[in-house]
Amino acid sequence: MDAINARKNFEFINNIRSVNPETDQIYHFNEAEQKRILNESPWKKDPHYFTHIKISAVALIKMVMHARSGGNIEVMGMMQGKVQGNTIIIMDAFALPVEGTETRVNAQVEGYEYMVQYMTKIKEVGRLENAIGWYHSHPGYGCWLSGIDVNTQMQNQQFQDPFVAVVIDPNRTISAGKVEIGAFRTYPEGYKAPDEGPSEYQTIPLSKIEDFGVHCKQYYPLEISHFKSTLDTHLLDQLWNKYWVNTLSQSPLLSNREYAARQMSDLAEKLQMTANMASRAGPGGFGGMGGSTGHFGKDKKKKQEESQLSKITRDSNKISVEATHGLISQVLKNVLFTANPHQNDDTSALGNNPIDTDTVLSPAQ
Amino acid sequence: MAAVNQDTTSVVLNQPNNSGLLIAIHPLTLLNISDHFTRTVIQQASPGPVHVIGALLGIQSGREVEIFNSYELQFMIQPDGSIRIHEEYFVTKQEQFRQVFPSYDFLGWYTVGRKPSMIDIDVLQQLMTYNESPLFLQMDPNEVPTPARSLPITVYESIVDIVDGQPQPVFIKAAYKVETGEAERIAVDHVAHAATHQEGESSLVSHLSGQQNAIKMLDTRIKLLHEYLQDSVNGKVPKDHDLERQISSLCNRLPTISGQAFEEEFMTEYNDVLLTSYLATVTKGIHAMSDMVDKFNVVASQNSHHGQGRARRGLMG
Repeated sequence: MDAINARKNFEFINNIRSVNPETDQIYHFNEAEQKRILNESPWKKDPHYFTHIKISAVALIKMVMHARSGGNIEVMGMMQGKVQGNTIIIMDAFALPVEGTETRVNAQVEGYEYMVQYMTKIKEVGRLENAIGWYHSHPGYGCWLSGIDVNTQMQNQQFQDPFVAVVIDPNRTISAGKVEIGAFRTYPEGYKAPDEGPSEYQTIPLSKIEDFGVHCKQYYPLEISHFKSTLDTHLLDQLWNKYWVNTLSQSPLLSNREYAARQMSDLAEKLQMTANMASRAGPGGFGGMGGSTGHFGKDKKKKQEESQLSKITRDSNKISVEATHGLISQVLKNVLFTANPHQNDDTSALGNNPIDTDTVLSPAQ
Repeated sequence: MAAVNQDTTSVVLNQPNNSGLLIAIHPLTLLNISDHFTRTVIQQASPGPVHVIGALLGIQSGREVEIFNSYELQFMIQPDGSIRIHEEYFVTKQEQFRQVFPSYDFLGWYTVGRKPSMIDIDVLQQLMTYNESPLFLQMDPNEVPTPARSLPITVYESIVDIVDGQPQPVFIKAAYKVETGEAERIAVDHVAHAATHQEGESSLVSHLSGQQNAIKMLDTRIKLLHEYLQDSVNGKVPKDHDLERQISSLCNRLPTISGQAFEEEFMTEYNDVLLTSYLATVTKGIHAMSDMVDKFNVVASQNSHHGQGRARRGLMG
């Protein structure tokens, strides 16, 4: 026993296993190198310089929790990190005492004093990275940049580049069961973006669609990946032993009912709009078989309406898939805990009389 | 410092904790500590022991304590090995967190290490100005996980005990559980399994495998209890009546919810979802139909006006 303790003590002092100097090198901050990169500023020449963003485990969890804590109010915060080639690395994030970022233009200015104070303080405890971006939440309406966001980000890129904007949707995160996050950089003013083809489709509520459409060509998304340290990996593995209960006990159907209802009514509105359009274009569209030569205008309209319909189909599919997922969890729980709790020889050993002897599903499956 | 380290027996009271404090820790706190530690180790110029200290933040209501977050603290190591917390830093940080998370209070502090020592008692006394009985969380980054102790952390409460006729603060081990909010769980899952998620994989697969893993876990736990009971029936292990009572009450709680009201609610929910899928399917059908009509239009117009049809296609392409 003593020998084990002695070895442990030795390992602790020398930090042998918990930190792997090679894989955890990303946690090292080289100030001189960052200064050099800043001096060179390769991103000034190429508006499309940054293509990737790497977010640390802590930063991601902090941002998601903060976004969720804001409920239906937009919240914002800053990110600290560094640059490595074409990649922006986010090491940490902190919340700013600013709310409702989508309604005011000067939101970031308000948090400025706090930010400066925070940054000087945290440098004293070994968090050396500079501010490299900001994040804010879009509760329920998807990850993209609004007009105000584009302005803010453009200013940031002008005065404190390298800078990146991250958007998180906490409501969609809950309903989809995966983190809904986007990272963006804007193009300089007047820059004409190369036609990249359609970006990945996402549902945008009717009330926001104009804001999205006007500005969506002014910025581009970065590819997001994540990293964690050796010790993080170890802890996360062990954590699963503790929080598996939550996977069973939580129900997305219940916790996100409000969001689901809003999605549904938005879909209904969109459907109504498309239906109106279709009924107007209808006679020409359907009756013009073979005879509609030269009616390009009508055809174009038809084309547009069709893509509307396919968008709606995708939206409705998504809603129903998420609802079904929620229901699957509920049904599983019902089978496990309510419908047929007593099974096999477990019951005989416990001396309890089975209340319901139907065989539905063994808990093992 | 080594001399002080060995003096561990006197600072931890080895008796069961009956304070009834319910401590819940959020994964973010643990990852924060891990990050603080890793970064300090990687950043230091020469290899050697590292020491990190930070504050734990959360909400306490009655006997329930929930630790949500943490932040790093600045400190000085005195020549005699003791640690002095930078008070001004602590106060400013506390003020900063208040602005963002007004409901969070200072609840305790964390370090890395294997066992509490006199140094930690000293830190405790410094921090008692801000919280009468702060909690102490110690993480041992090198601990080998055992089935009984999955996370390498230990939580201590501080109480005052009489040692050699003198009142002296000592630590006493406290039980804790890990708590996650739903958004947090998804985020933790996301980073934990980031590598295994494949592009284009159906969301159903990941959803079901999550559920399956949880149920598997439940299954192994139940099997363990079952095994224990079998063994105690066969006399392999001594009977623990307290434990058996707990198991029995657990079983008696099944079925968890039954009754007319629940049944109705459940069926409503069920039907709502079915209706949603039904409507989605109808929409899909309409879309397919409209697509078909479109294609039919194109083909029909091509057949009757061959030349014009091609010309139009050229224009539209």
